[in-house]
Amino acid sequence: MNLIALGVNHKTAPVEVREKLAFTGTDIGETIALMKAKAPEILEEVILSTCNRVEIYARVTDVRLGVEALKKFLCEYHEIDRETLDKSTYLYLLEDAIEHLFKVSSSLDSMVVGEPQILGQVKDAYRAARELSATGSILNNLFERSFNVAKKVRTETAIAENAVSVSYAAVELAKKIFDDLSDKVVMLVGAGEMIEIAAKHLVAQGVDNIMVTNRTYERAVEFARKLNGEAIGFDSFYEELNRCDIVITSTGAPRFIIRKELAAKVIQERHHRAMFFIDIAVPRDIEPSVNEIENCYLYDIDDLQNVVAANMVERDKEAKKAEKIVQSEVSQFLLWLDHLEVAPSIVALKDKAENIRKSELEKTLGKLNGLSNKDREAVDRLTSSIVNKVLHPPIVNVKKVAETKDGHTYLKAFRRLFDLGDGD
Amino acid sequence: MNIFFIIATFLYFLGMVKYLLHLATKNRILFILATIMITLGFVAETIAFGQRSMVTGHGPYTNVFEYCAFLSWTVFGVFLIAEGYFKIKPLGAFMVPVGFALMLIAIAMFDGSEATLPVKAYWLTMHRTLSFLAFGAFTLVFAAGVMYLIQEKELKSKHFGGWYHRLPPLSVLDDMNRMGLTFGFPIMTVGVVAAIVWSSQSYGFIIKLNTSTVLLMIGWFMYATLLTGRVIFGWRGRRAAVMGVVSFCVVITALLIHIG
Repeated sequence: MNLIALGVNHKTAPVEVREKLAFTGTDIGETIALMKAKAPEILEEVILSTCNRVEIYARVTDVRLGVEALKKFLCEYHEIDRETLDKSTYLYLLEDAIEHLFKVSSSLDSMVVGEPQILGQVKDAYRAARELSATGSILNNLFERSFNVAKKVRTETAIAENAVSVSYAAVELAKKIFDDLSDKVVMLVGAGEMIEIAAKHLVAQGVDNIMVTNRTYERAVEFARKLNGEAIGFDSFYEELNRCDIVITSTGAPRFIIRKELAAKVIQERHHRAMFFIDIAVPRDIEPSVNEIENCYLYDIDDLQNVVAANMVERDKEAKKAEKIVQSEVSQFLLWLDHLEVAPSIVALKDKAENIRKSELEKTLGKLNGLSNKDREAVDRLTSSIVNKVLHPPIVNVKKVAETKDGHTYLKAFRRLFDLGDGD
Repeated sequence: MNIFFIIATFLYFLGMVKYLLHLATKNRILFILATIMITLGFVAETIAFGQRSMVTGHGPYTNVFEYCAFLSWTVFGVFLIAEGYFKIKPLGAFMVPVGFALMLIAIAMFDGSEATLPVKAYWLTMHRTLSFLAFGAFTLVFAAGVMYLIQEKELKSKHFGGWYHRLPPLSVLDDMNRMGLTFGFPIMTVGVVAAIVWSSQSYGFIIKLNTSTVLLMIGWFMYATLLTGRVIFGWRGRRAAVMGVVSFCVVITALLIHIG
């Protein structure tokens, strides 16, 4: 079976190369049609193009010719020189190609391992190809299988459970305190990239009540407009604190701007409803002992980074579990492929033997004169029976071993030993 | 003993083991199996009580076996409702052992005796039914409290063990505390009133003070304080969780003394 996966991703190619090779959704149909016309070596194909990877999964008539045709096509289509392409692409064959697809779908090959978008992108790519009849039974089965693997990885491992960025970790923590964030009020004190990312994550969770304050009121207004929030004067933000469930601070203040006494007073005013303080400023904006107040939770930048580091370790552990799932699924898929190949291999062997027997028989019988018809039939039966007896054990055994873990290797050896060609 | 009590105990045991294993492994199938076991156990115990009542002619209110078995029944009943409503998977690991322990005590205390209810037992029946239902609700408050305290510790200490991911958010646990209390406390109070009415009808208005009665009164007072604190002063979170756990310990101690 000549399955290949050829592509570039964030590890092998810089964005300048990836963007040149990218296919947009609209021209994928055209590309596939063109590829079919220009490269008849390609029997089935799926094009996966995302911002982090461009990959082509294909079944080809011959690996060498197929890869060559594909590369030539890519160079021409994207007007990119061959050397750049060769330098940045990777090529996986058969089991490696299967394993790669399973890993991509399960988000084990992603920049942020466990991120959920990639599965949807793979599904879209597959659907697009199938609608254009670019896939056949092999790739159909391969992709459907990869979706199951992704689902299995997601449900059986905790790969996606742990946030691995500081701002997302803060959102996860908020959810462990408040559960639903959509009715929560957020106060952003200060500005900066991190506070902005955290705010965006919160908005994505449905938060729509955001207050923004800044020493420079104009900046607060500008930031508030961006987030669809409300700007508050820096002198009066203390008065609004009792309305806030989540407070994120990131100012350049040299001293604490929220002290324990203030937080204690605010929590009293709030009738002890929980508050989550996130202090990403250095030097810190919030007195650390605020964390000691009942129903107050304070995380500074180091705390968040520790959470992320612990999550990374956890994620690596889960990734190892996921790899095991992928491995076993790859063997299962190979088994299915072997089933597809074992019958044709046996037929090929039988045909081959029969052809040899017939031609040898004709040669010999031509030389032997004076044999009665009965004798001729006896010789014919004798040769048949020798061929069948000799072939019986390998045929029975290849059926058996094809079902074992190493079936694929055996089948390859079987075809090689009897010189039956490569399959397709 | 009715065979269905034995079947129920066995099913509760299997369910409990599965809930605990689910807590350790987070395997979804274990969780589903556990819920099925407890549901079947609950059905079996209900059948057992039905059959027993037909024989004795009264509800399960007369001896230690009946008390404990009926208490476990209310615990499992409340548990099944709470699990369906809150959809909190680890709840079983905290509530089911309480119910199972009560069931074990019941079976250990079984002596085949069948007491009869005193005449004019209307208020007594009411008192016991309501108190037992309240107990089920308070077990929920207790389980929510324990989970809250563990989760709060994880969040305050900032070092997350396995609990952090397993247990639900604090607000959900606090909600559970509030719900259990809102249902449990009024029922318990009506139950106490029924006890006073019954006692004054039977013996005149004399309250017999023994340790378990005093502890129960303290327990009632603590739940009253907690509910008042919640409604009027906005107590919540850690304070509510601690009080829910401590009050339950007082009530269960009273119960054990009463049995002993």
